[in-house]
Amino acid sequence: MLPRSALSACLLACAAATLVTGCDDDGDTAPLPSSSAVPAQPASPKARVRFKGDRVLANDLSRDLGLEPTAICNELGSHPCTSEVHKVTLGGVDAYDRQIYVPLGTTAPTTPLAAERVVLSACLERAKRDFAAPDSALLFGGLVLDGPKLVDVHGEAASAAIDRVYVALLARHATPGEISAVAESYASIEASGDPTPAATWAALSCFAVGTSVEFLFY
Amino acid sequence: MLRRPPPAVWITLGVALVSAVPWGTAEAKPTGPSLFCATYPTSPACDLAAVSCSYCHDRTAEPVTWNPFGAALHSALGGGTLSDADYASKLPGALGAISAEDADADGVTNEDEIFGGTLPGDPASLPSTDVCPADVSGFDYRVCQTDYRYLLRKTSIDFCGFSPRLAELDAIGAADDATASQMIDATLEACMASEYFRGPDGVLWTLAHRKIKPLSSVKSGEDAGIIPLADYDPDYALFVYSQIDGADARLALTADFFVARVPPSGSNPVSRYIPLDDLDGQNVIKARRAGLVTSAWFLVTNVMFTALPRTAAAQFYRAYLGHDIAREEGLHPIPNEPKDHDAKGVTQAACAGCHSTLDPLSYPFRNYNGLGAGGRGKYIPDRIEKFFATEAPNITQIPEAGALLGEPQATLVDMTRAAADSDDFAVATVHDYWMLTVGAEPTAEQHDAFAGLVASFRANGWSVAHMLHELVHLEAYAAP
Repeated sequence: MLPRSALSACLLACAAATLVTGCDDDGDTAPLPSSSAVPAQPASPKARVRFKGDRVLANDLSRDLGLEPTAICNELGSHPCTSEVHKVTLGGVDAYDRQIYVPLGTTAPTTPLAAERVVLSACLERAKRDFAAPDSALLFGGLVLDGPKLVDVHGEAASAAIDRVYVALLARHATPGEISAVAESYASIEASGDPTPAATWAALSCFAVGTSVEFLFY
Repeated sequence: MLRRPPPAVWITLGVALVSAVPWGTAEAKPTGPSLFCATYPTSPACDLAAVSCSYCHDRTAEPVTWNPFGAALHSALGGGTLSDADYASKLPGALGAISAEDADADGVTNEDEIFGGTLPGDPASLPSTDVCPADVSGFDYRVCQTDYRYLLRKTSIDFCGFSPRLAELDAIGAADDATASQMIDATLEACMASEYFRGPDGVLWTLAHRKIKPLSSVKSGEDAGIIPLADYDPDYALFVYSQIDGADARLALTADFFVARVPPSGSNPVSRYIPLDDLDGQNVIKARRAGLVTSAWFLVTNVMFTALPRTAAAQFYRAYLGHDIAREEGLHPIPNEPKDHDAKGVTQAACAGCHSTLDPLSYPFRNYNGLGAGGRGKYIPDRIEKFFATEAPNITQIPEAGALLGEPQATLVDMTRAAADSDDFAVATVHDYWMLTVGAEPTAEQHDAFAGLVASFRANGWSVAHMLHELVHLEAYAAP
């Protein structure tokens, strides 16, 4: 369970993610911020976008975040989120026991919650491991820290970490606008009184990118 | 927002109906689809199979209702009840009389919708008005055109189960189109050899679920349930075997052998599938085997204790030919049927419309036992005479010869062979993979691509692998 401060920060991070992925309430593509230095994409009239679903979501998080499949997300510490607890909600089937032979025709009302649950769990685990062993960190190594706090979130080390998150999860580099948006979320996390703001920021940076349309859909 | 035709009529395929236009009562007019297609043979609704009930009807059971096109047609026919002969003679003229009208008031005439592949009775079904950018240079993706980075991502996710890395995307993005196309084929080939594609709960297993309909509580063999009756693992194995490595997909309905899966081991990281002449728990003699519809699991769970296995026939028809009789799809009434040998009352008007197709489809299963006396999942000559003779006065008159798609069939082996060779099977198979990859019914604009895929599938040994190599390069899949 996330601490309250982290949850509030989470919302900020989500807002940042929405900003950087450029989607409005209807899910339509909006122009990216000018600071992104990326030309606005024409909206495709085809709208051929599909949700990754339970298995690909788990596979991608496992590969991208360097986690064993069993470490991504477990309810009550023992029930796998993607292959058991939230399997059908995430677009999977349950043929053998519940005779659900084909995935739901549309995503369920709770699908976003389940997807966020899984991504958040995986990101928390990645951040926890990276901060526990910074020398062998996959994403969040090299950060300049003052105890539990980041020294310069707009510095080179933090920017590089943000870029590594984008490369890992989205298979592309972050734009300057995206790096700036994610970095700016740190201030609100630290102001919330979070006892480990750097680690929380790292996890929520990962979460923001990992719950973007660009990561969850293809 | 424009909406494409829902289950596109030409793909609901086979969906011949109880009645294209039932008059006043629910009396079946199963000739409606063929008469429609005789009038408009080049309509996309007709060239792959028959049209669906919904082409004219909102509801075919009492009280019968029509959509705007059906209502206009009803009116053009005089609005009353017609004999079959009058109906047949007047329908072409009535269709012609309303061809220039716009029944659903969507701005497109009935005739243009019939030939354009949209639904003349559904105002939400309209020709595409997609506007693609004329110049996509400078953008990350080639919108509306084949984009190889987008295609690599889709191919990798759909067939391998994970997203490509940045380096892979960069490599294909830097390649010329011919090289990039080869890279896609190589990726697909590698993915189709992966455990994600062919292993337990992989892509193919998942595709097989609604055909096999597993149930863990009555499974036997490995991971047996609490009431072990039959094992479905061999069913999955045969299905996968028929879909991989260029195999003939018709084996799913024609194999006279079984298949066992060899799990991954140190030297073989991917499941292998081995054909076998015999397998523990499979009891149908070789001469009476018909792929997945004579497996122990299929017979035990679909025939069960019934004399005339209508459920088995309906599941065979639904799973492999795409026709759900419960939805009045795929009806090809046989004259003088149903006979109602088992005294179930199926000659009643409300039942006969479907049972004139379903019962002849069920007769070839009459000697295949499910559960009960005689043994599980066996072919037993004179099965009805031995075990069901007292159930109804005429029950022993159930013949073994039946009919499929309106054509007589002497045995189940003959029937499944005919089914496997049919357009309906080819369409249903390609449709399975289209839905798996594209994720939506083919639109009117995609009809020709879909039809071409079906034709190519047939012409290339009914190979799923070959078909998928074509599918991933279609605009429907490759263009963002």
